[in-house]
Amino acid sequence: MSHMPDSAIPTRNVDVVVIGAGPAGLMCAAGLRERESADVVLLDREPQPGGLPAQCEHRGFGLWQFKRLMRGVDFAARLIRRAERARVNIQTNTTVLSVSQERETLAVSPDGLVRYRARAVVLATGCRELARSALTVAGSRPAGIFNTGPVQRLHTFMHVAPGREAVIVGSDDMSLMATQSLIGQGVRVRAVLEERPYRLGYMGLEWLLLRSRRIPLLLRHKILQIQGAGRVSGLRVTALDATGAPTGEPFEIPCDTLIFSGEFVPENVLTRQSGLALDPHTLGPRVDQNFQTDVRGIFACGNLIHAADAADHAVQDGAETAAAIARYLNAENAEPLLTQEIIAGQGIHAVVPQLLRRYDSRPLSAHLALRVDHAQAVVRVDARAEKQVWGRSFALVAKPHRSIYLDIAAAHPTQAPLIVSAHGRALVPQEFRQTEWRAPTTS
Amino acid sequence: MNEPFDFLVIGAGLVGCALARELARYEARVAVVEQNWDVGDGVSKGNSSILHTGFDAKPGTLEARLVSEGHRLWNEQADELGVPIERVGAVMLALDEEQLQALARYFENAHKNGVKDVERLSAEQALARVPHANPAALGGLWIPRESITCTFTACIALAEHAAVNGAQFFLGARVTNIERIEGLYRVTTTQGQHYARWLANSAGLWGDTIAGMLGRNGFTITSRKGEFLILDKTARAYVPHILLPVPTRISKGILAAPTLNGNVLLGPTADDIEDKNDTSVSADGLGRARRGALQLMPVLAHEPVVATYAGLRPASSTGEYVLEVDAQTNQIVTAGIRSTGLSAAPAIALEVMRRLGAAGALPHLKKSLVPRPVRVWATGRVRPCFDPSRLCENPDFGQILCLCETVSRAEITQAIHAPIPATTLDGIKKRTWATAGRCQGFYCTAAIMQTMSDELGRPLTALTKRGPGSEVIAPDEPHA
Ligand SMILES: Cc1cc2nc3c(=O)[nH]c(=O)nc-3n(C[C@H](O)[C@H](O)[C@H](O)COP(=O)(O)OP(=O)(O)OC[C@H]3O[C@@H](n4cnc5c(N)ncnc54)[C@H](O)[C@@H]3O)c2cc1C
Ligand SMILES: Cc1cc2nc3c(=O)[nH]c(=O)nc-3n(C[C@H](O)[C@H](O)[C@H](O)COP(=O)(O)OP(=O)(O)OC[C@H]3O[C@@H](n4cnc5c(N)ncnc54)[C@H](O)[C@@H]3O)c2cc1C
Repeated sequence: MSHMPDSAIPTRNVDVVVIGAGPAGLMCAAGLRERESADVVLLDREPQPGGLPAQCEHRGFGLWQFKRLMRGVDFAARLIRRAERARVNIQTNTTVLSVSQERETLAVSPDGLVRYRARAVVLATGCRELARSALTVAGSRPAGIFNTGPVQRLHTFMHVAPGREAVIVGSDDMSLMATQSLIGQGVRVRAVLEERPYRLGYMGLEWLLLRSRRIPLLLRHKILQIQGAGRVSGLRVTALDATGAPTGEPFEIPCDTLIFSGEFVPENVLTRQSGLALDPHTLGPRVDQNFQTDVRGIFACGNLIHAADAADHAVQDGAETAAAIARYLNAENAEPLLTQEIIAGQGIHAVVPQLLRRYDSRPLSAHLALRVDHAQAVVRVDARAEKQVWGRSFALVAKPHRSIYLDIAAAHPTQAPLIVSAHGRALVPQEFRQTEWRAPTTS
Repeated sequence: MNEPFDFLVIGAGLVGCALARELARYEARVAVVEQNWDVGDGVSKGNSSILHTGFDAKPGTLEARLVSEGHRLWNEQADELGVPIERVGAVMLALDEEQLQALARYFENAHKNGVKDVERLSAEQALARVPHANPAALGGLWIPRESITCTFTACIALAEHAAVNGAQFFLGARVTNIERIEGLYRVTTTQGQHYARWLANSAGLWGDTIAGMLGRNGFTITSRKGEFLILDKTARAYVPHILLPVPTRISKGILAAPTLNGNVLLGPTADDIEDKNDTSVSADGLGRARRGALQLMPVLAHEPVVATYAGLRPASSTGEYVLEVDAQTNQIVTAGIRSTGLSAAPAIALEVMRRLGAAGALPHLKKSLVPRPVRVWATGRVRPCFDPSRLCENPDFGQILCLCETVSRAEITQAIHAPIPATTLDGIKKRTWATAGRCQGFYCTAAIMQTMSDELGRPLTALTKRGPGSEVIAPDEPHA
C-alpha cells in the first residue's frame, strides 16, 4: 500500500507481534513471555493498553478469571500489571496498518512507521458495534445518536454524559450495563427496545437493577422513525407481531439521545485486508483449535473470533493462544497429519474453532465456543464424529448472541467432520414478561 | 453602514461557491451568505458525486451546453484546486427490448451533444466490462469519460479558492429580508445586515423564496428526494465502472457507482416531497434504491451497508436551469440546478461572468491569484501516514484517530485550520472522511471531539454535528 521505497521504513525482527492490547492480546503476550521469554511486541492504537474493559467503569468483569466482580478499568489494570511484570514490550499509540501473509506488520505511531518481521503474528483486535446507518433505520440525521462505545469513552475518559433522556436499542448485557452507567451519570433512561421476543442478555442481576428503576424493556418493538432536526427529539416506535410485522398504533417516545447497542461484529479491518479466510457465521477469521488461521503463523483470538463474548473468555483465549504459539515456535514447519472440519449442525449457527488440525496421533482435546441459531431453554449440546460422541454439555438457557461452551476429547484420528448440535425447547416469549410503554406523567 | 459589497451571493452550494470563485478573480468586494454552518451543506451535500459528460442531456438546452463545458473545466482545473477525479467511465445497461431500443436513441443523443466517444456494447461486451453485471443484460452503452469525484471536496475547494482571494463567507447567516435602498441591496440575515450592488440568488431549494423577497415570481422550486445506500469497501471490486440503468421519463434512474473512497453507492430514488428540510431516509425508499441497483448487479445483495443518506433535487417549475443576469436590477439568478449541478457549476459561473462582461458590469481582473493551499490529503489518495517523510515532518501524521479510514490527527487539525474551517463533526467528516467508514465512529468519535475541543478552544458541550441546535452532547447538565 505504501508508495515509498521500503528502505525508508525501519524494519525490526521479533519472535511474535501481538496486535491489540485488550484482554486477549495482553494475556497472550504475557503468557508468551512467561513461558518462552520470547521476543514479543504488543501493539495498540489506543493511548493506553487494556482494550474495551479499560473504557468501562461498570462492575461486570472478572467473575470467572478472578472470582469476583470488578470494574472494567480494574480488570484491565490487573492484566496490564501482569504483562508489565512479564516485561512485555507494549507499544501504545501505535496503529497497525497492514499485515501480510508473510507475517510482515506495518505499524505507525507518532514516532513514525515501523515494519515488524515476525515468526508469528496474533490478531486480537476485538469487535465493534454495527453502526445505526448500517442497520438502515429510517429517519433524519440529527445529533444525539450513539453506539455504546463512544458513550463509554465520553464517560470514562472525558466525564461527560451524552444527553439527558435516552432510549437504548438492544437488550444485550452490554446494553444493560451501558444503561447502568448512564443512570450513574444522571441520564434518564426512557426505555430499552428489543426487536426480538426475548431479552438477549443473560445477567439477571443487571436486568433486575433496571427493573427496580422502572425502566421499561419493550420486547418486540422497533423504531419506525428517528425524529428531530438539530438534535434527536423523539422516536416513533411500533410493536411487532409474531411475524415481525408492525402491529397496533405507533407511538412516540420523547428523548434527546438514542443509543444503539448489541449488534457486535469482529473488528476485521486487518483480517480482510490481509486476505485471511473468514468464517461466514462468526464473520471473524477461521481458526483451528490452536487459534491458527488459514495462514501459517498467523493466529487470532478474543472477540475477533467470537464477537462480544465476556472479557474472561478473551483472557482464556489469550492464555491458550500463548501456549499454542509456544508449541508452534518449536516446530514451525510441522505439517498437519490430518485436518478435520467442525460443522454447525442442528440448532447451531456458529462454531469456534472451525477446524481441528492434528500434528501427531496423540489424543486431542479442545474447547469449542458455540452460538445457537435461536433462543432455547434446557439445551443439550453434543459433538459427534462418525456417530461417536466427542463431547456433551448442557445449558439452562442459550441465546444466539453469546457463546455456550463445549469441551471435546478425541482419541481416534479421523477426517470425518465433527458435527455440533443443540437440542432444546424454543424460548417462548411468555417466559419474559413484556412491559408496555406508558407515556410518563409530566411532573 | 458597512462598506457595500460589489457582489453578494446568497447560498454557498456548489453553484454559489463557483460563482464566488469566479467573481474573486476581479477587483471586487465579494460576499457569500449561507444559512448553514458549513459550505455545501444544502443540496450539494447529498448527490451521486458523478462528473457527467452530458451525453444524456436534452440537446440544444442550456443544461446540455453547461454540463459539457463544466466537465471540461473540472478536468482542466481539478489538480490546481486539489479536487480528485477518477475517470472510471460508465456502462448503461439495457435489461429488456424496450430499453435496448432506447439505448440506440441515447447513442444518437450523445453525438448530438458532442460526446462522440460513446460506444455501443453487445451483451457480451457489456459483461466483459462489468463481469458481475446482471447476466440478463441485452446490451449496453460505454461512456468512457463519465467520472467520479467527491462533492464535498469539490464545493469546499471552490469556496476556499474564493476565500483566499478575498471573498468573505458569512456562515450560519440566513437571509430573512432584502430591500433596495439608494441603488443598493440591503440584505438582512440572522447575523446582521450587508449592503451590495449586485445580488446573486444561488439559494438552491429556496431560490423561489429569495426571488419572492426580490419581488420576482417567475418560478417555484419543489424538492425531489433521492435516497442512497453506501456499501462496504468489499463491494468495490465488483463495480469497476459507473453502472447506469436506461433513464425513465422522471429521472436518470437508480445506479450503482464506485466512490473515490473505495465504497459503492446505490441510488438515488426520485420522490417529490413537500418539506424542503426533509432529508430523512425511509425503509421504503432505501428498499427501492437497493432493489433498483440489484437489477443492475445482483451480487451486491450480499454486501454490507455502511451508511445511508438522502439528497433533495431542486426542481424548477420551468423544468430547466433558470439562469439570469439582469443589469437593470443588478440581479443574478441561478436556480433549478437540479441533478447536474456538480458537473455544471464551474460553467454556470463562467456563463454568468460572460453575461456580466457583456453588460459591462465586471471590474478589472486581479493581477494574480492566490492558489488554494495544498491539502495533505484528498479523497481517494494515499493517506499521509504511509509516507515516512511526512512522519518526520509532523508526528501527528502517525497519530491515527480513525482506523477504518486511517485518518491521522494531522488531517483533522488541518481541516480545522483551513481557509474555510471545519467547525462541526460533519465538517470534519466531509473534509477527512473520519467517522465515515465501516464503524461510523464507534472508536473515534470521542477522540475527534477531544481534538476539536483542543484546537477550537471550545468546551466539549459546545461541539455540534452541524451547527448550533445539533449539540453532540446534550447542552444542559443532566439533572441528578
Ligand atoms: C459497552 C461494553 C460493555 C461490556 N461489558 C462487559 C462486562 O461487563 N463484562 C465482560 O466480561 N465483558 C464486557 N464487555 C466485553 C469485553 O469488553 C470484551 O469481551 C473484551 O474486551 C474482549 O477482549 P479482546 O482483547 O478480544 O478485545 P478488545 O478489548 O476489544 O481489544 C482490542 C484492542 O485491539 C486494538 N486494535 C484494534 N485494531 C487495531 C489496529 N489496527 N492496530 C492497533 N490496535 C488495534 C484496540 O484498540 C483494542 O485495544 C463489554 C463490551 C462493551 C462494548
Ligand atoms: C439525489 C441527487 C443526486 C445528484 N447527483 C448528481 C451527480 O451525480 N452529478 C451532478 O453533477 N449533479 C448531481 N446532483 C445535482 C447537484 O447536487 C445539484 O445540482 C447542486 O448541488 C445544486 O447546487 P446549488 O448550489 O444550486 O444548491 P445548494 O447546494 O442547495 O446551495 C444553495 C445554498 O443556499 C442556501 N440558502 C438557501 N436559502 C438561504 C437563505 N435564505 N439564506 C442563506 N442561505 C440560503 C442553502 O442553505 C444552500 O446551502 C444530484 C442531486 C441530487 C439531489
